[in-house]
Amino acid sequence: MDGVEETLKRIESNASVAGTIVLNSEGVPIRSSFDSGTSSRYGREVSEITALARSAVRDLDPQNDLQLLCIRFNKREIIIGAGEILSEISFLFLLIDS
Amino acid sequence: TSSQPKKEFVNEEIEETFSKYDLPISFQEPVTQAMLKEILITDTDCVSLLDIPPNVVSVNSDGADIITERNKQYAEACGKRFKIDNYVDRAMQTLKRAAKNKCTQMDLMLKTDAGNMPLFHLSALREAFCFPQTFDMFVISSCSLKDVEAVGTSSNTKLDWELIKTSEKFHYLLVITERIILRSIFHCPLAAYRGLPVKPEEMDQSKRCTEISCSPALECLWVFSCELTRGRTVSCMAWDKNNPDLLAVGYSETDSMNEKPGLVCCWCIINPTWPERIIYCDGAITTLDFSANHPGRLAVGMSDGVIAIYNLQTADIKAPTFSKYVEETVGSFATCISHKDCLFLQDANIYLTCTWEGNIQKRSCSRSYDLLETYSKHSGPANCVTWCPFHPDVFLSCSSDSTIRLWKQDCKSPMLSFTSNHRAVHEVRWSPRQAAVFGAVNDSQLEIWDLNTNFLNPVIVQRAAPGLKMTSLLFASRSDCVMVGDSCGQVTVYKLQNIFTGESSQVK
Repeated sequence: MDGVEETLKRIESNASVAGTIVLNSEGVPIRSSFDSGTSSRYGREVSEITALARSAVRDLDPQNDLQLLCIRFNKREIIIGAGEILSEISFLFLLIDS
Repeated sequence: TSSQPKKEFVNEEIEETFSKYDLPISFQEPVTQAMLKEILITDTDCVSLLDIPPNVVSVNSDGADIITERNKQYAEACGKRFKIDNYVDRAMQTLKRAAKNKCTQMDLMLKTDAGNMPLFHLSALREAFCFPQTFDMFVISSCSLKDVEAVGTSSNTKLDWELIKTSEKFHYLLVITERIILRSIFHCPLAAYRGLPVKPEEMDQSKRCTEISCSPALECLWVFSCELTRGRTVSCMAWDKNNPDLLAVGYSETDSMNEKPGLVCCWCIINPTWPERIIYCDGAITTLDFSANHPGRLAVGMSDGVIAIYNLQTADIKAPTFSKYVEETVGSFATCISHKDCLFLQDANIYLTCTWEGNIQKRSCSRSYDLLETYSKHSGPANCVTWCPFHPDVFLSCSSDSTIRLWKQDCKSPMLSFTSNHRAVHEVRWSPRQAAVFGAVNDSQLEIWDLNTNFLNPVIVQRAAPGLKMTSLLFASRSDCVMVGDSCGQVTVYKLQNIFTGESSQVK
């Protein structure tokens, strides 16, 4: 089994994936395959909507937690994965073309 | 008169704010002399949730009457709160977001050292709080500003990234997202593999327009290939008996010139771009098979005579759990072990071996050196023998003399012989779903024969791409598909179309 870096590279090398961004709990991009401007824009928007989705999930079932969120646009699709380490939230998300 | 209650009110307020400075003192242990040397009395952080300072107005001022009136109204409303419908009790959810640091400033509090007072009574505490100078109180006079930049400082983010990388949860999420992407890419071929109908709007433009032909044909679904396998020859393939979606493929060296270590890859049909497990072995792989009783165990036979058993349940496979060097071939579970001799188990007792001279020998497990029967007709080395899954007595053999022969167990000469082009046939397999169908693979093409339709020619012939040699063949048990391995390390999955199950064939 290969590590995290190799898996990320494989995902990015896929033809239909535009790129990946990893964010930290404040929505700041830590590792991104896009330029910093786009990354920070996406980071801001995505952290807001993920917090909303997460609060919705926890409202419905307090034991549960948000794992993946897929948003499909007309032209693209975003997959957002959320996880917590040491009570910090780490995001991962990708952009896919339709 | 009206100033009196206000003064009390103000006093109460002061007392309330000071009661927040509760010191955590435990009365449980007796305080010893040693403990008295260092007593730190500190103050916990003050969190103010709501801070509305009261507006104090003198009774004698002009607007005092209005304010007193409003106060009275408010007191009445509070009293009537439970009866009126205007007020509803409702719970609110506090959303815990990332904490932000805010800077605050306070006036420096004067400190004087006073004598140590080891024992306190609660009443004494209450009085003492009104005179803050009596105790050592460390007060944070100012907080340092922590900049929260838009892009983040470099040291912070690097630490975060290192932490995140080691997290298993992150890895798991990555694997899931990779599968999601692949599922959307390979949606149509996977649906065809499983025999599920695909909605027309989901198919590619090109496929929608082709007409549906009625003759038997092969449709190429996908190819298992990655950079690790490029350039190697596929020598053997096996399905996992416990998990029908898992395919183990053994790769051997291409020529004797490149001494690469042997490779076994376990592919899952969900992901044709990267294998689920990768095992490097010392020798070239000649055969492998999964255990039927123990899930996740794979036995691998190599050309230098070593049999190794690997446990596939761990993600990282470095060494086999069991490894044994055998001089000669041993039949354990229907695998063919060393280079040229092949074994196949039928019932628990009888197995067949094929030899370099072209003879096929039937032996019994209980007395393995006793030759029960010899079937000789092939003029070249016999490469592969396979029992028919529908007839217990019938088997097929193929050899480098470019013929495939159908035998019945009791009869010394073959019932039928098939040949189509003059190439050595590497492998022959029965279809597990249709009784009279078998496939054979030689250097240049894949042939599917249907004995119900045609004895002389294969019903489907799929030529290999130029420069490629097909080396290995396997039918899928749950699906009408056949896997073909070739000399470039690719395993192509073809779907059989328009081959219908007839009644089981009559053997002459």
